[in-house]
Amino acid sequence: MVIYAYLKFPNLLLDAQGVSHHNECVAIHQQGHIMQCSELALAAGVIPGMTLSMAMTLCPKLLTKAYQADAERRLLHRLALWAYQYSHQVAIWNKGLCIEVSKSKSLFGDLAELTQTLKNAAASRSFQIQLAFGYTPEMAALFVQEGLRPKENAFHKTLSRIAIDAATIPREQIKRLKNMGFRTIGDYFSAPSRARQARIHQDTFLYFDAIAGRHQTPLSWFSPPPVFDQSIEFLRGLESIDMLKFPINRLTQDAAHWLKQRLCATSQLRWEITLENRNSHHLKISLNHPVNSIAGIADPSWLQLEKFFPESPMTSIRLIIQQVHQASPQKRDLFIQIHDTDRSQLLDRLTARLGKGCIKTPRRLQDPRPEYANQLDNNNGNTYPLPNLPPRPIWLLDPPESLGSSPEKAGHTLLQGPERIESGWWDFEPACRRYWVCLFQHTRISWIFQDQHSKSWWLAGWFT
Amino acid sequence: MKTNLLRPLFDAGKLWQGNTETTIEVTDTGFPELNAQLCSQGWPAHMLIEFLTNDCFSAPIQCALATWRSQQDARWIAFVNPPLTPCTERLMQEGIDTEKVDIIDVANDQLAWCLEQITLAESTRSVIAWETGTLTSTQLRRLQLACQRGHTQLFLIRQPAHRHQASPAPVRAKIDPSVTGFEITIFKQPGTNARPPIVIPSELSWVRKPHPAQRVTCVKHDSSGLH
Repeated sequence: MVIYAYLKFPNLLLDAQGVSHHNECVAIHQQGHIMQCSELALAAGVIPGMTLSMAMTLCPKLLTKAYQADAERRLLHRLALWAYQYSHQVAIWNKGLCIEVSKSKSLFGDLAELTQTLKNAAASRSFQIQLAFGYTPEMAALFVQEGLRPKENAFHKTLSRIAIDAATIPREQIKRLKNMGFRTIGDYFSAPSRARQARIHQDTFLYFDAIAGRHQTPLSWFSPPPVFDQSIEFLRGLESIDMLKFPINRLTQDAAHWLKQRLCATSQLRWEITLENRNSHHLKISLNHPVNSIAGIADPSWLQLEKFFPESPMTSIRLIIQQVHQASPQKRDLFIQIHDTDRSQLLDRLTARLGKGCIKTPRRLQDPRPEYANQLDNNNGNTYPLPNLPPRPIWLLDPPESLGSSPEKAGHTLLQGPERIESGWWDFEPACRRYWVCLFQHTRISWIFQDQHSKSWWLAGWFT
Repeated sequence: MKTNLLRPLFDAGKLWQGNTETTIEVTDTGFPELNAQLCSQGWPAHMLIEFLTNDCFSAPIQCALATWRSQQDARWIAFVNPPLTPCTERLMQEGIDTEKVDIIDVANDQLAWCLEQITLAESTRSVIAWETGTLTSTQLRRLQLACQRGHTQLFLIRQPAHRHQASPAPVRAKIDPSVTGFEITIFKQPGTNARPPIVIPSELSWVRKPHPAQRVTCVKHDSSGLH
């Protein structure tokens, strides 16, 4: 039989605000009434359902925030994405999550083990959850409401003991059922089905059938979105960029998780920071290599974001990933460990902090002129093989340094040469030079040349 | 009991006794005379090595090139803040795969972070860095730990004035230029005492003793351009 888990998030509305509410007196309100409040606010006497003015009187330092259906919906989608790793059938239902777990048991163990796994995973992400299992989402939700978590073989027995008042149906229907003599759900099901159907409202009849596992509610299953677009809004404006660390970590965790679920990787990230003055700052990050790990996304993002100085407190941060690539499995060799991933992460980190042009690679072009042959560039272009050349110096001067009309006057004594280089007639920068190896001031070995047109001498490099 | 607990650290070359020869993973320096001066016959492969010298152009890079030439693998090498542009053709002549060479110019305030990132990466084999005078003792200690963690060798070129300052670098050497090459004094290394200075002859014998026939031909041919 199909088993569903129902996950309820007791602090859903508070969590949707994106900032830790554990050390604050916070309350979410709608139409002048408190909907949910933090533990500290509860301790101060604030309770859900209370009017806002009463709550403010009881707790003057209470931080209030209007209920935002959008924020709640976004959080539920984020949670559904998280739960998707435990089952391919996850639905957002009744302001919670409904997960079909009968097939997950073979992967995660029995229901007790699965409960522990889900609780641990939720705790690691700082979410409080309440969960229970049942043959239908309604049955599981009723168990969560009553704080019960029966074993699979005791679902019906436990259900039959629950008081009829616990049913989530209109009060008048409960009163009517009580007047008919039903005290528990077990009493209700002990009556003949036809008699019940004739006497009670159809919705109530269907509800009881659903909680007993006799009627299946159609669910619309969640599927990971094709584009990652998540944001976190802050309870109060953040003034320092360091305060973004926690939200960035949460978003990058979710992004990495989303990419791994889709077996994808990305090399393009877009961050958007909204400020209190309504300005938005966009930051595009291009990575050297597609990544799908938390560190691969978080490190370059943080290194770029920490350079940002907001002119006004930040109210939200958003991460968008639109371009994805199929992730290739990590290469493994039996004997040689390949450091591709490590290397690409290093390049991403250095590029993010030091700028795009910070790393150069030496490259040899097929040109006899040393200044053209020896290039440093940022692209991994082709390096032409080395012909049979006389020894070259370790260091090159770019541009060469003028020695005037006589190398001896500049302290360079000719030792060996010349090597004649005549080239460049095709690009209007002709070079007709004779290169010499020289001794400079009896200690260092230099590489100089004489321009055959101007007859002037130039220092091109140093051997030592 | 204590010895047993510390044995893995001794075996990994992370801990040593001052007066006991220790075995650590090393890379050949490329100079037999220098190998003989060093513990385990080479530069430690995963440690911070300080060269204290006024000659930032010549001897340190010769030491690095010699050791890179003698031991190559699939990992990268890096020049950080080189004093001049390294010549690609010379690197190729030294047998170094230039596609596995990074040349990085970094501002002083980012140098410690940059070196730590590079040395932490397991894809990096060896790094040589100049303009490192601003590094503090704490930063040097972090770099040493990063070398051990990333299995990277880091040569730092520093001024001789730093010799009298304590440094967490396990290997410290003073290099002075001499007429025939350069003089190197290893005054700190793991597991052994300071060693007397030795002179490493210059590898430029081909310059000092050119083939007579070649010299005559060349000079004759281009005598007009010389004077």
